[in-house]
Amino acid sequence: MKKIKILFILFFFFILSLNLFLQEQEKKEEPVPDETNEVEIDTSQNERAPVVKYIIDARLFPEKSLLEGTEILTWVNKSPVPVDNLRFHLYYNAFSSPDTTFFREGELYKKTEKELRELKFGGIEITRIRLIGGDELTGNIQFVSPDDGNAADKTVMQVNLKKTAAPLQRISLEIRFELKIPDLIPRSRTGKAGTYFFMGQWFPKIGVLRQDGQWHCHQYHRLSEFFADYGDYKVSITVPKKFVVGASGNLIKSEKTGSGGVTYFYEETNIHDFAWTAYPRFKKILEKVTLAGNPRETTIELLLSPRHGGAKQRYIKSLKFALDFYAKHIFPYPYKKITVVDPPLKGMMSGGMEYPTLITLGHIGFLPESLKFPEQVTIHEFSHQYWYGIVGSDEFREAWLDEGVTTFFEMEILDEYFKNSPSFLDSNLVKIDYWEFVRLRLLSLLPVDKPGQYSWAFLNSSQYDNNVYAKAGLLLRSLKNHIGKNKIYDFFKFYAEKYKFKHPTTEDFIETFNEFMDEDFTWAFEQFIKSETGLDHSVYSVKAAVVPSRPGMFRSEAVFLRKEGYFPVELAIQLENGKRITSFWKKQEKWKRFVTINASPVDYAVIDPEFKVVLDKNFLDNSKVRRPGRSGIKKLAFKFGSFFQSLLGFLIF
Amino acid sequence: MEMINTIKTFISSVNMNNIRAALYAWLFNFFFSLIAYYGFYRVFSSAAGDSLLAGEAGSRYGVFNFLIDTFYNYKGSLPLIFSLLFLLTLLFALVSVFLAGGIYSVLIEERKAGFSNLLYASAESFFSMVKLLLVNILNWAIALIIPVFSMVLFWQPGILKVNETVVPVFFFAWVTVSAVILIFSTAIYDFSRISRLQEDKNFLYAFKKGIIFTFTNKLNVLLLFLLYGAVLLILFLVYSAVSGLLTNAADTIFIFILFQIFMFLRYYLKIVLMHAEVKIAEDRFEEE
Ligand SMILES: [Zn+2]
Repeated sequence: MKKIKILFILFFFFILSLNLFLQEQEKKEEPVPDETNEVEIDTSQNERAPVVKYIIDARLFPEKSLLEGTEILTWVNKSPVPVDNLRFHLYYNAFSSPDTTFFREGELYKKTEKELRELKFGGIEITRIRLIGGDELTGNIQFVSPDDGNAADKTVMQVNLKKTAAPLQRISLEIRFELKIPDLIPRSRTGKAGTYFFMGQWFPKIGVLRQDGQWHCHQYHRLSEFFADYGDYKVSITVPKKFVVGASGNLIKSEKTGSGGVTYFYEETNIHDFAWTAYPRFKKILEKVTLAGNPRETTIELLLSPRHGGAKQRYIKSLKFALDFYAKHIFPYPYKKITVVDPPLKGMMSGGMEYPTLITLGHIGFLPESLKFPEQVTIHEFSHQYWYGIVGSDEFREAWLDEGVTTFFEMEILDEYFKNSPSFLDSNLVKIDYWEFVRLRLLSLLPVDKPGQYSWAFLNSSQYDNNVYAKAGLLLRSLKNHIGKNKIYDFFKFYAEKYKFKHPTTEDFIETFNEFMDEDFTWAFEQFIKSETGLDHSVYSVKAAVVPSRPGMFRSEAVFLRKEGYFPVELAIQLENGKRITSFWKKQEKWKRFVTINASPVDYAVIDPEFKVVLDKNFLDNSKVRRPGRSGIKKLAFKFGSFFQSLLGFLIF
Repeated sequence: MEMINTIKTFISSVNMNNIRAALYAWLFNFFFSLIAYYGFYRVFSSAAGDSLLAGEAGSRYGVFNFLIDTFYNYKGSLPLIFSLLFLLTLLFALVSVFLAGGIYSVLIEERKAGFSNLLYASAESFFSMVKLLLVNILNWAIALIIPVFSMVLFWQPGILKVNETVVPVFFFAWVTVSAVILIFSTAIYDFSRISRLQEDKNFLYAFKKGIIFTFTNKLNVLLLFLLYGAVLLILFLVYSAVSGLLTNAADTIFIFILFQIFMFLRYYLKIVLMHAEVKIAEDRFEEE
């Protein structure tokens, strides 16, 4: 009974202080200083300036699930075409009603009406937008849906300018906005769960103006991720004191607001997005590392959720390994800090995502050591710092360029990290390497989508994953096995240097690849990225017969097939006396008859004996033995048979 | 004192006669399992019988890759054998009722566990054993309520909303409670069958007797089963250690023989437990 009394008193004080805090917040509203309207065009300066500069002031009201923000955006028209409108991503509107494109595309959300009613919706409202020192534009807002024409989707805002923006003209805008923060749901990646907040895609983000004067500004789709221009960000975040905050960029300073709040000031240059998180129960862990080729120290800032102590070392150790790997093979991580967010279980839907200089991972307190999920997700998301963060490929239109390349490096780094033990599941029953797990996803692929297509155009989420991650990743792994590890790492180093802080496309990738290899590999990308083609090698037959005219000699014959797809591949014929005849099948043909006359008959024939072309859908038919021994499958049959017998034994009466 | 007697009873049940009964049970188990061994061999042979991988299925290519290739490229083969094995399992459940009836009868009547005796006794007791099996569905249904409902309730509100520390604690508690419930429901089933065979009254009487007996002898029942479980665990550990030493593909036949010995010992142990149950029941049935 006593306890309840104390609780009641505490609650009373809590309400009281909350009231004071909110009053204080209202008073704080300060006018934004007007800058001069820059109509005259200072081309030389604007040419060098980044496309975007954001100064954002954000205030979180956790109890009300609200955020108030003021954004000063400086944008330069870098196209040769004058534009009369601006387009912005208002991603938070994806969660504003069950009719948004995000919900319509979600298989999970074809829910009953009752379930939909219980969903907590969110959204973003632009309360004011104006040119600094110039026109009021709030009345010029309209919503457009360039991808699907869905009128209920308000994730792309168009602001019609009263005067056109000439090439290389700079525009400064003041945007005031209010966010209603929804609960985290599958694929939403942003929102809240209890007192845990993860804020991604939270501010009005301007689209990318292409050279032809068209806006690249897609709606928020369930499957696709993001794309934006590089720029400078200065973000101040005000939260109640009890919250621990982590964000993209570097913490410059923090100030008490005098009403139980704290404002954190973050800055970074050359990034194309900004995400942050706030949660009272985070434990902040800082570690400094020195990377080869970087005289400056790099800081790892880990925000660990309660009861995740077991994951701490797993995260840090694998992250350090990945940092070293990239420093050695590509170039050292160029930013000062990497923030690692370990969400609590309830906030899992924000986990496993990449943002510039910030990644979100995932762990559950009771995860067994045998499952390598924490290491895998750390290495995957950190890899995105290069393939998305630094090399800014387009996640809307060519997701394979970041997910496929990331999956490739993820497999490479995990192979090295777990040199002598399985890198995905290390259990007694079955051992699985990460690349084998990726291959499992390749096998369940339906041949109806291409890895290179727009990410919202896939049949469903597994088709998206299996193409963009698995097929693209395994293509690169097959190419690595074909070309050699060092050469392909060198290519990626070259590619990353060339497109650092730029936006390469699939065409740029292929061109750079061919140029670097000094060989035409267009066939690989045409088949496995730009079309639905899969790959299957097999051995059709293997035979041997005596040669009547030459006693003691045997004519051996093997027929190899390319049942599906083309990839240069090794062929081998093993004779019974142990002699091996190999050949490299490069010519583009569907089948090949291989004949040899020798003192010994053929024992077996095999295509791709080293399992190099991991795109192959079936390795079981890649060899044929003339007189097969079956000790391997006997052993396997025993393993499964005895498992069944043992099960029957449990039915003991 | 009583506890020591229980242990003594368990130990005294380790005898030659029970070896014959174990052999009888093992033979049926082995016969049913042959279909599984052969089925898996056929499936893997059809997928990769003349491949190089047939000789080294697990070693170089990896068991996981071998299985997923079989599953995706020879669709239907694995699901077919799994459904066959499912039917086989159901059938064997019935067979084990048949076997247990015979074994209990022979143990109760203290006859020689010869093959024909067992077979005859199994046939003779089969229908009454099936009736008891059906009545005991009630027993298992009740026994399942706590484990199933606690699991459903636990997962219902969404694991995501659950405190992360609670999860492992819950699982530990769940396993312990379920094991105790399993022991008691098995004991009820066992003692009701013993009563049916020993006292020759109707099956409802036997069921009631099984319940009453189990709960008036809670500690002894628990001790007996824990004893059985402990020996079984030791047996399993010894088997895993020994078979772990034989990793060569050529050792398959030795591992196979070793595994059959292990299975036989498991049955032997179970029959020792059954014999101990019979002896305890003989001592105490009249007391009540
Ligand atoms: Zn990714």
